[in-house]
Amino acid sequence: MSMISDITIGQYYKGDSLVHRLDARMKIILTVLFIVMIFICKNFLSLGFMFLFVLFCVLMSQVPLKMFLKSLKPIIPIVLFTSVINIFYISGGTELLAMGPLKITSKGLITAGFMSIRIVCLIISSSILTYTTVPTQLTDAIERLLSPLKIFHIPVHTLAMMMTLALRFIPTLIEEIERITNAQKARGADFESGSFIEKIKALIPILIPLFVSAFRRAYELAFAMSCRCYTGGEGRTRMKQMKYSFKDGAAFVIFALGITGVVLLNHYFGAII
Amino acid sequence: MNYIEFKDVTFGYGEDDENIKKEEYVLENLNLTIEKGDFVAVLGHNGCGKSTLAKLCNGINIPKYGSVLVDGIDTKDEEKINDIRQRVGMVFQNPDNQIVATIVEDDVAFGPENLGVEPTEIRKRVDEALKNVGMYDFRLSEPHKLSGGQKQRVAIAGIIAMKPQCIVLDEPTSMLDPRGRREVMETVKMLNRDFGITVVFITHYMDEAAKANRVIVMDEGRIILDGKPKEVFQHIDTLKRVGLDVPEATLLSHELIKEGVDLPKDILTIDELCAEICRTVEDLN
Amino acid sequence: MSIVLETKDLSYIYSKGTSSQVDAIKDVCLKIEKGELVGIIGHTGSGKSTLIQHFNGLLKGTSGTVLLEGKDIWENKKEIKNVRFRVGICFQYPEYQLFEETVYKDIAYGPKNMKLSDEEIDKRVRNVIKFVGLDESYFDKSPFELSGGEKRRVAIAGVMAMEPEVLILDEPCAGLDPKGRDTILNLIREYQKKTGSTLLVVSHSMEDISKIATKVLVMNEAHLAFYDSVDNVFSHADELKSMGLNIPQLTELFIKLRKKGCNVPTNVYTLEKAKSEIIKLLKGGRA
Repeated sequence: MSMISDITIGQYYKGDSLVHRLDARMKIILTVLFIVMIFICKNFLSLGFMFLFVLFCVLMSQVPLKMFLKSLKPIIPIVLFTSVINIFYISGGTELLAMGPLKITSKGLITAGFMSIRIVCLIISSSILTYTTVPTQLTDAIERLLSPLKIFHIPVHTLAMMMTLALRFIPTLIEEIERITNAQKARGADFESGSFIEKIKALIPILIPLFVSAFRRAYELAFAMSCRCYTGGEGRTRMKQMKYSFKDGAAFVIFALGITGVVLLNHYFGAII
Repeated sequence: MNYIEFKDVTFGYGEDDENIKKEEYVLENLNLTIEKGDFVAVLGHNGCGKSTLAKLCNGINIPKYGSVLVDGIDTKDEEKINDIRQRVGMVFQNPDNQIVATIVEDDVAFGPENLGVEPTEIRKRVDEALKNVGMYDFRLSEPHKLSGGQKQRVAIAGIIAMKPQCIVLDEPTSMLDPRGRREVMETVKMLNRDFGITVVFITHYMDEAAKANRVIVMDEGRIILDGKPKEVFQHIDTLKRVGLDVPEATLLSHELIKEGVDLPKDILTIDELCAEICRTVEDLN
Repeated sequence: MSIVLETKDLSYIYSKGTSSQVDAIKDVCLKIEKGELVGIIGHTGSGKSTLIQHFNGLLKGTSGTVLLEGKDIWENKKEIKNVRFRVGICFQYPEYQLFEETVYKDIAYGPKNMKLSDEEIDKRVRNVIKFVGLDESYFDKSPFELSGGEKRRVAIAGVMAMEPEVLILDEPCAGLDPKGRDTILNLIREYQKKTGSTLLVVSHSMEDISKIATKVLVMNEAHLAFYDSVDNVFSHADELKSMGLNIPQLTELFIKLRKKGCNVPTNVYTLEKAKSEIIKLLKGGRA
């Protein structure tokens, strides 16, 4: 038994909300619209409106709030860092505090606040996508959305296949790393002590077997795939069809209204940033 | 009726495909026919050429000399390679390295999708195939969370969803625990019995080979024994010479025969031996 | 005989504190005497792999202790690396741990980590290659160009070269053909005879266990089910079967004969003994 069996690929959160049931392609389009919406906010009203819109989507997804907090945790340092940079480097508006060469201005504070909220909303909106969509559907949707690029000889199918295989083999390789690490530790390998260079060197006994095994797997997998008549994207059908339904259209309209709302609020209440 | 036919097949792996030296031959002048609906076990130690034989069955390996016919189609015919691979499915040793998708049912659908089957038909085949191997309840699971035996059954489902007439399994049980081995063996037996699928089962476990209709023993690229399990396993010395096992029951009964005990020569299982010994004891009383 | 390895109420819980927490092993109390060759059986997920990883401190019990020669292996955390040299584990499919350019260097990896002198390392590598039935002509070869069985033996040699007091082999025969399996079983027996060290061998094959082991340890659903002599453990045929385990084929035969009313012992695992017992039975019938 291994700990690895607990690993879930991607961050899919099992559920059956309206958001879960939306077409994955539509969800990607909506996420793009979300990003547009986040970045066109120019005043507090439109920012607040946008924030409420994000919250509305979070509620619709029925994914517990704490899951979103979890995904926000790693970006706190980034938020703090950009805030500090903004606060001290942007000048304009009224001067609030001055310490020698460092000045804090109202414009700096506002910019920092805007940026922080934008980053947070950005993470939340992309989390909604990954929490509610199975990774395979995601790669599938990307393949289908990008398929027009085939005209320019971009190997969209191959790229999507590579993504699927990567997703498939990540847990297998993690398991493999765990296994090799244990085996080398049992032979007295030390990964903790020593200088930086020594630590890097200590990884060789793990990396070489890992590469050897990854190549062997790739080789066998290629065999297995050609035995199952895989010859590339040409002439393939798909078991799972993607179809836009009424709810996808409705979601699109809601998002379009949301963007219109932000644009109108920007227009009528003036830009402050 | 012959389903797969090897005619004077010679094959070798070499750097230069045109001029493979004689020393590099893995198989030489091999003749073999596999009947439709049969269950054939191929036994042999590692490196005896049994995996090479398997890969010749669906055109992964192409004979250097001679030819392999599958359902009358020559595997050399590149145009028809997918017709051959649809007819002869293949399951490999390492279950991890043949599962393509992150969800069980998507993986089973992979073959039919490649064949360009209609989506509704694929759905039907996938559900059926998963039910047949007893993995329907796991259709939405992630493969890496399954046991070895379960993964191997998913791999088998992926093959039968392509509606093959023959399955070649290349040491499908050698990485599994006893439970997994049993699961796989039972599944394959059932496919042969209930659906008439021809099975070529490559293994080095003699107890699995004993369950086949026909056993072929290979050594150094040649077939050295070929027949019903009961016939083949009587050749204890030959089997031992080429580094193979003999069922314990056969071994013991032959030892007893040498000591003058009256037993049939073709005992394969412990149950048969037990019954025979009881019969002998009763006769004595 | 003196005790080399001992566990006291050893338990290990996976994902402790979460909803998916599982007992991997529970309250294992065990005393392994010096010089035994212990066969470890149990089906997948029974906890046997978790158990062996406690013996060299790759895992630390959630509760309970592991004593090596009477001393708690976790008494001094910094010493845990030394414990790994004294209790060597060779994991399943050990050929996948090979990484050096030459066979010699790969076998020397463990001893090098022990900070032994070059002469001592050289002595050990030359010594151990014989144990695994290979010779010095292999030293300059790349481990990656060997056959499967040879790779396996080089990997086992790499653990043996640390000259551990306790050597644990996790399914050393997995995936090998009968010839390869017999080679490994023989080298295990020979190694034990020559070094007198304690060996623990995990296996799924009851035949293999009955051929080489002096004692059998059975794990079932995280618990230690049996730790006893081969005879005593296999006399619990029904219990072993209810745990999803097999018993050696020949033992099975004698149990069946017994059930049919034949007067035979049931502690039979070898062909020789089976033969003589059946002949005895048949002669008895004549009398």
